[in-house]
Amino acid sequence: MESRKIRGTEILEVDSASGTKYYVCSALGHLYELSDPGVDRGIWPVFDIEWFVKSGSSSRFRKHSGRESQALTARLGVIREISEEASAVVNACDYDLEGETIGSNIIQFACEGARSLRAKFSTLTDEEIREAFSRLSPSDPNLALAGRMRHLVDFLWGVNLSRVLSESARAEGKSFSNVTIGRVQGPALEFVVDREIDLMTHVPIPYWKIDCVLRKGETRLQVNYAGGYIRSQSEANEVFKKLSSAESATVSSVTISSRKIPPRFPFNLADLQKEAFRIHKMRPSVTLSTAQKLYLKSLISYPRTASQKLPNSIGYQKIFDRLSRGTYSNVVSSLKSMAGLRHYPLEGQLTDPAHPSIFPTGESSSKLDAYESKILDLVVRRFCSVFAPDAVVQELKATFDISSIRFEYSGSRLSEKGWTLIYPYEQIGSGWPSCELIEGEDLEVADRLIEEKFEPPPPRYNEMSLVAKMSSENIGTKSTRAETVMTLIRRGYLANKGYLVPTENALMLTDHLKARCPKIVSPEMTRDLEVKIEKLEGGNAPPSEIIREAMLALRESISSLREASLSSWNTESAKQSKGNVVLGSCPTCRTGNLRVITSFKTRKRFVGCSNYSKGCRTSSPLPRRGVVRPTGSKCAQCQWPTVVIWFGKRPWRICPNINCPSSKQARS
Amino acid sequence: MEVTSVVPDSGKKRCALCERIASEAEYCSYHEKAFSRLKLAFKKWNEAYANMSWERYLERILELEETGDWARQVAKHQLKATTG
Repeated sequence: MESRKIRGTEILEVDSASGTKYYVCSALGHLYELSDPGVDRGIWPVFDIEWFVKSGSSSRFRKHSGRESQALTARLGVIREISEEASAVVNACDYDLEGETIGSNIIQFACEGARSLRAKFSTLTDEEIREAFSRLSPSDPNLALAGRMRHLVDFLWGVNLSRVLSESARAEGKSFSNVTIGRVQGPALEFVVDREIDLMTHVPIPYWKIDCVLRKGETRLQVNYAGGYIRSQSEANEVFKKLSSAESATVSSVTISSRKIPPRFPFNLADLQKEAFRIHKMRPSVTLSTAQKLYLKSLISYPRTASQKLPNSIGYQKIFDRLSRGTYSNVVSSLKSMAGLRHYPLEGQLTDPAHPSIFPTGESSSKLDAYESKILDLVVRRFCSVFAPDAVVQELKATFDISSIRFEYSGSRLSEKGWTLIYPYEQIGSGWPSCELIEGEDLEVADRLIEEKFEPPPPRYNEMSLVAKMSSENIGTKSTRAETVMTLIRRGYLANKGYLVPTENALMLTDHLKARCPKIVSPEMTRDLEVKIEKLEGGNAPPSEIIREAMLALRESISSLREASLSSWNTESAKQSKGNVVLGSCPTCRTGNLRVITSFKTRKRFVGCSNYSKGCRTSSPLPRRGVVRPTGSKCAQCQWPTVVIWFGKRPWRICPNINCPSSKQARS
Repeated sequence: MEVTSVVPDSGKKRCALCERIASEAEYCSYHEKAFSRLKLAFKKWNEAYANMSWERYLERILELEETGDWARQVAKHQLKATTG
């Protein structure tokens, strides 16, 4: 293998065993992107778009190519030159929609007329790459078409909605304002906003919980009222009154049963992200990027898969042999020492057209960072555990009679560890009583407990639960969901405090879109499009139908946004543009409004009056971090509108006036 | 006591509790939803506590940390309106 550079682009020359010479050049991701050929970015709707060589992020104007565009054009020139002498061009990008789109664009636009072939592989081991090149196949036109279709729909949606929304937001505001929302971002944002509304309007309902503490020897057992939660205070008091005279509890029944728990399915990306979050608190985007690094190091298979299947062809024994020579030799020997091993892995129902589930290659590397070690550990153990025998859990259910009132207790324990020895990250079995319970025996009633409780509000989404919600609603793709959440955070629609809080802009935008064109934020339309694109991958849906539906929905939405007087949006946006949240009326001049203002230069935040230009200098600094929202109330001491700041786990309610005594006390 | 304000420059009625535009009622859609939920929940509280007064209910709601912020603001506003 030789490496050389042609006009700055590295080319590898590889001689295969069969005598074929390959020239290998990396694509560096997408070299082409969609754009409208027009120069005026204020024009919409835009339906006439083309693929262009990707430009720099600072400028999308075709006339002003950035350095990135020149470098990419040079690279494409080299690829074109080499392809002219070649008998075929092989697309060896990742075998998925994005990889197919990247490769097919290069082959179509840069290597016009070249015969194209596809190399398909799920790991980057030498063996699999050689195998893939020994069985090259014609490129799948449906996969490329599906990939381009997704880009097309996403671009049309994004560019048109962004332009019409931005224009209306700037219509009366004096400051420059860009409002943007994507096809998948809309419904994802709506999930968070709906949850926030639910939470903010939550009114807790009371209920009562009654327990008894029983004693047998040194053991204490807390048993629950069999009628569950009680909804009325009088009923709860009646039950409790009967218990107050009870001194003993009779064991009415004891049932012990066993249940087998099979191993969990092999990892697909969604399950790996869930487990990494649950066990290591790793964000889904970090899990994906770490898994991608492990894939590039040939340590695991391609991570962007929905599959829960592990076909024979991956070579189970080879993987175990390699694993037993490295860091995980003890895991493999523990597995091999178990009775009842499976010859074939336990698999789930989900499949993927391109790749199996995520599995380790068995190769080892000593240079792994903390994240990589954690993800590799999960993948190896999960892979090994699907060959392990079932775990067995014993479950105990007991009922008690206390003054003719029924109480119950349940507990469980692992009687056979099975796969949990290999994949020890789940707590299975808890609450098994440390004393034996015998039907008919009496236990002493040591204590009676009655507790008034209130229904808690629904929990806020965090990054993982939002990705899981998107997955369950089938919006977005396995590869893009985590990135969609990050985009919503970057664009200032969501604040990430460990949980996701929609900003005032997000509330306003969603409200506006729901009222004018609900399709933009509805998961149904996005889900239908995803299903059609998946069918297109299999050649089962005409692309024209997808475009027609997407454009109809888009035209309808743009018309609604255009026709609406936008007066409420405009007025709101004039006040709320760039996150300038209005807190309430100014107590000094009485005609202006106090707003949260962020300094463009210093990025510091402060409260200022809208009548600044008319001479009102009322202002006060704010913390840099946290989402600031008005409470609608006024400070009793200085009459400034009070705020709640979401920062950390608990909200912080303060008067923003730094000179107010109550504020000084709160800030200290 | 907060009153619904009409902002002269826009002609639009504002929510009694925030700067958002109010519909026909005195609250914006968010605070209106909170108000509806307060009224619905009052029925369940009456079943739970038997003959609890509206004022006492609002006082209890304000004591609870589980109460959502907008519901809390409406409860406070309604309590002021009731007690004067």
